[in-house]
Amino acid sequence: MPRHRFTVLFLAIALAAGGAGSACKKKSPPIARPTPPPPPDDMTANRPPAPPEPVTEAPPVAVPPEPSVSSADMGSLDEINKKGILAPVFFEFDSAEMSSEGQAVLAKNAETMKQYPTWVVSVEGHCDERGTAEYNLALGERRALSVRQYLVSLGIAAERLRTVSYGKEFPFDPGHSETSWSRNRRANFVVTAK
Amino acid sequence: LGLSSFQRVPLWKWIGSAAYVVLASVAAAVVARAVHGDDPNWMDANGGNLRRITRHPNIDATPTWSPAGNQIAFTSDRSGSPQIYVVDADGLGQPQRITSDDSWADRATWSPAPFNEIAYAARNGPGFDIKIRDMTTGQSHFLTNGEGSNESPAFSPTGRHIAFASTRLGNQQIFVVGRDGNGLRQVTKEGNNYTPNWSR
Repeated sequence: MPRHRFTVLFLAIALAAGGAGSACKKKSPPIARPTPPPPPDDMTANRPPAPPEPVTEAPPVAVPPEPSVSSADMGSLDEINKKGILAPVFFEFDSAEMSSEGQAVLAKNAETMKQYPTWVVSVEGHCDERGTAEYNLALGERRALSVRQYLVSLGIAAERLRTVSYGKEFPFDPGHSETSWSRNRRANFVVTAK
Repeated sequence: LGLSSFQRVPLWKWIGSAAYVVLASVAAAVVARAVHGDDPNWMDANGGNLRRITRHPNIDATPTWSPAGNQIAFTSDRSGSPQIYVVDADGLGQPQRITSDDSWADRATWSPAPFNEIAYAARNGPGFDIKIRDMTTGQSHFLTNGEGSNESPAFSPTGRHIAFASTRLGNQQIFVVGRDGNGLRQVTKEGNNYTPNWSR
């Protein structure tokens, strides 16, 4: 192959890499935000049983709508996101279908977003490493769109939900086992405005 | 174009002499849009110029033009695993699956004329290998043989060389090899490098 052909190819790759680099700088790379561990089960198990409450007929009360809460005192966006308030949703291999567990997580996330109506959230689609880079970008987008669509069906305004696919490029777990892969097949939530 | 950010490599092509068309994958469906020219064949019923090529609910991605621009190859998992399909560029025909020997066949790139070959990433083990299918004879052969994971093949403008990304030396780097499998050369050496493409 003539040397100039290599030079042209190398320049093309270098330019592409440079463009990708600048694109990455514009959007902060996702940060793995571990969900806080649940309280141990035995915290309540060792407690003596409560005495029975007297039975009273409570009159039916209309449940007021969830009051909106200001997140002004919750700190910066980074601090909000580090708390992992919006839990991730996980997927099966090569699938963008949500499980019943995923739907339950999204129901909670939707309630949280209703409490903080000024939040704008980016839904990030991630994949495990087994597909090609290009296919995983499509799969990650499909996952993010699937989550967005479900949240909209739960009453979240579409303009509060943005989607992005990172494919397999930012794994949360760098391992190469099914355990690692299952952690990386996710839709992640990042609050981008409050 | 209002296309997703993940369509990294614009797939422009002159169709005949009257339409300059870009091929892309949007929300995991293949679409084409004429952005120059006035070929009525690329106008839709509403006078627009966006043509949806695939309509399957599963994922359709990574499209590539045939040398003459009358067909499009793409990856779809409509059969249960990602495989390569070919469909007429008008989007009206039924896509024909052309791969079946690999558990995962993905990211096709069609050679320029005078060749008529499709290079793609095939997985049969822990990683991908580059495979080439002769579209005239239907015969396929491996271009790489199990060293690391090899993906994102890209034919040179002459069709005589193929660039691809490989982890054979650790980090993912770009390599070039002749279409006969000879003359392997490493192009990048720093960091990780993905999805090579050639200047024209």
